[in-house]
Amino acid sequence: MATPMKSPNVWAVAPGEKRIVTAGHFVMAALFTGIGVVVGTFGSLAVPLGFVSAFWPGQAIQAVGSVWYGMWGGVASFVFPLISNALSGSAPLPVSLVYIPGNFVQGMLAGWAMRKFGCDPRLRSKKDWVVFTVVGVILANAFGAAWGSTTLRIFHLISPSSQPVVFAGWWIGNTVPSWILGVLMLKLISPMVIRTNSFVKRYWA
Amino acid sequence: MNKTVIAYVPESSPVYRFHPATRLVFFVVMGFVPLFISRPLVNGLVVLGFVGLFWVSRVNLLQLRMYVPMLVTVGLFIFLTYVFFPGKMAHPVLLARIGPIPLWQHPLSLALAAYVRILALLAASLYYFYTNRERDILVAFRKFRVPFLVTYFIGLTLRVAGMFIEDFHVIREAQLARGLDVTSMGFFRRIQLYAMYMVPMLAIALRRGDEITNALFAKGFSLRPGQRTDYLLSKMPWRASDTLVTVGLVAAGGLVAWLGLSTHSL
Repeated sequence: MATPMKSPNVWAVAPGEKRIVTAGHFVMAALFTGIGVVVGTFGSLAVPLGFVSAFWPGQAIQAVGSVWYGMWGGVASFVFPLISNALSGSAPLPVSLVYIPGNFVQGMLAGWAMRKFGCDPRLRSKKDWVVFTVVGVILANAFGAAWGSTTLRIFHLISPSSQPVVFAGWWIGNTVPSWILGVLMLKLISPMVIRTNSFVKRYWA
Repeated sequence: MNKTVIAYVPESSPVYRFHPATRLVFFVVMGFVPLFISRPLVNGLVVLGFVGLFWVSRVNLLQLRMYVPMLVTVGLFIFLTYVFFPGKMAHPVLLARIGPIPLWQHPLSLALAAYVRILALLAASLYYFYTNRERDILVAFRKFRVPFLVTYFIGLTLRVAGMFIEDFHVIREAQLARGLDVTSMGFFRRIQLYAMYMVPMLAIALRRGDEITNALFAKGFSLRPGQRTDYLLSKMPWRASDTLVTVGLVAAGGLVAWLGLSTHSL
């Protein structure tokens, strides 16, 4: 049996390689935000379950965006929910504004973890799968659900004693579609993305 | 007809008599004012006021039907959390009992207040996106001297979102033409369907990203700030009536906030 070849570290910057912020990164951030707006809006409208969308594929866009485009994906993570929540009628402006830090962390955790532990975005090894699943999906959604349910509680949109149940519903409900969609996108599209100039090896370039 | 972010609105709509920046101020003020109102009746009047505004602005009210499931489930969600998890009450008053489930007065009144408040807040968002075009949003931000890079990002995002909605419809119609019935699908089948949308949409996005980047490069676009002319802004003049309305809106919003926070009379 042939020994599987160890894939090269996609995050490594080659000697002499210059990583600079270009218009391409800016455009990809806007594109990811646009995709997030569409996916988030249609996701919320397709399976409307109030504020706790049991089907919000937007987290997959957030996680994958930060893996491929670093902080540019992080920017998209908190900008697109502002627009998609307004368009879908799932959350008003003040609530969406308070969601911003939660959305940013929920999106960036995957990008940070994949870089920190040197994981391949094409999910080639067991480590890549474990890091993306545990940190990028389970932990990220746990943080997002905790932040989101606290926000709803602050705005009196849920009763205080229902917060643990809302948190659990939010967390489990978002984790499943995020994992399915995130894995599909990383497996199928990462090989293309990492060859483009706009792929971000560090955090901004 | 003007193609707004969500709908089509006649060009003769009275809403276009106001500068886009005035409309943005209205959105921001009305997007926060209901938070300071605790009486459901007052927020209910705000909602009715928005229904009237939709009608006066000649927005086809039938277009709002798509939001009915969302608004109903938002209400159900709020009421269910307060019914099943009412928490501790100082003086519990039982209103009724549905089987084994007691309906307490205080949690239900809190739920009603929260629901009507959220309806008023959502009405502000929907009204803004129903009556404003992408260019209106950009002009409004530029009028308030928001940096060009930020407004360009917002503009590109809204434009790209519009393009992706078209792509999404193309993929969806292709699926419908092949006999796919989305309405009869279960929850997990819908998730699978979304996965099928994502991959082609992202592939299109990558190609489009390259095209836009090349176009920007060809036009000498720079991320660095600099002097720029603004054609759109010059086409939409700011009038005295805009100043009057903006000042009035901010003052009224401030007054409601003050009354709500200090006297709890609203």
